[in-house]
Amino acid sequence: MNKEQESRNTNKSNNYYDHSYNLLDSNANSNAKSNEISSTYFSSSVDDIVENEYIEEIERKEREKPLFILGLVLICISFCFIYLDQGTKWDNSKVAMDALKYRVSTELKPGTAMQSAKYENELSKDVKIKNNTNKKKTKIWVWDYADEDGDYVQISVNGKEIGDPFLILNKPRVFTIPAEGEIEIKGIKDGINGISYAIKFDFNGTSYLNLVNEGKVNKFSLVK
Amino acid sequence: MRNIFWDRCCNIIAAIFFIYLLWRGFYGIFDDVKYMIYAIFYMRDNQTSFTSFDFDIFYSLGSYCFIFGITFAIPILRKMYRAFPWLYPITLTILLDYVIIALGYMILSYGYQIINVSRNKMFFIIMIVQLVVCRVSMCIYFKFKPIRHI
Repeated sequence: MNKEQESRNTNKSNNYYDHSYNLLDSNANSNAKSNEISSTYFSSSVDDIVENEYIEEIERKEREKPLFILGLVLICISFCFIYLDQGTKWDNSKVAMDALKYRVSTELKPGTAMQSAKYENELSKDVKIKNNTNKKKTKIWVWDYADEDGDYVQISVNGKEIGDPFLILNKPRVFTIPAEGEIEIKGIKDGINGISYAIKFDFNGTSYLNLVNEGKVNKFSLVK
Repeated sequence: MRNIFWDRCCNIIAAIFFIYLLWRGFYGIFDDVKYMIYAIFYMRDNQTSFTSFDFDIFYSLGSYCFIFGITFAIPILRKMYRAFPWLYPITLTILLDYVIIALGYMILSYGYQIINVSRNKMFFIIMIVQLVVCRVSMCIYFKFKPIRHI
């Protein structure tokens, strides 16, 4: 009886140690499949070890697949953002250089940005323009022809303000105004080194490059 | 059996890129977020907008998406996330936080392009609503789908 009891106890203890090995192996991962793998790991041959590594590799790739897709998506998004950030397209053509030199141009397109010589030949001046057309209204485009450095202006026509003070950007803003009268460009806020702007009139297709200081006014007199 | 020499080379490359990621990725993002928060308060106090001359948001967003994108896509660099389990959740949350605050900055910057008190107030409120909604949505999403280490 004692011998039988002893043999039963040793069997039980052996089973206990086997069970505890299994518990230790599965401690990190309670998955039944990994239990199976880890239980065979300690008692396997080299082929089994290689097979286990191969299975782990496949499982890892499956787990990391969403991460790979996320990475590709982020890379595509980054290319989209970099494409959107075109930056300022500086125009260094002869037309642009002449416009900078003479401060007036009939060929300059609205929104043209000219990098160099922002601070050369810059004078704040009032301009008198003769309107030879029969048009009662005309369009004007106002934009910053240099760096977008946070310049704010306000436009008045015949003493009446049209709209609120706005930030001038390389992208032009369009206004419709009477073709006769006095247009005032008032400098509201200066970003850096003066408020440089360009204004193009539709009736004569001419662009004027000008500079106004904060609190001061440039006048464009349209006469028939 | 794996090539030990190749493994070691991959580990060195991943380690070098990890150091670069800490500097250019995390430090850069924290710096930009700090600047954007400063810009938001500056715009509100001075009623002026920030332009791309002051802070190029699209370039920043693009560069961070690219840096983190390649760490996810390239297997050699993905090793970092296995070596440091905390890195993946932090990366994802920092990137999302950056996108959220960048959106807020863009909304306010657009709103302050015209000096008009009611317009400025409206866009400031829109920005706050956007920040709160995006943050809450992010938290709810991660509550139901928590980010686990890989």
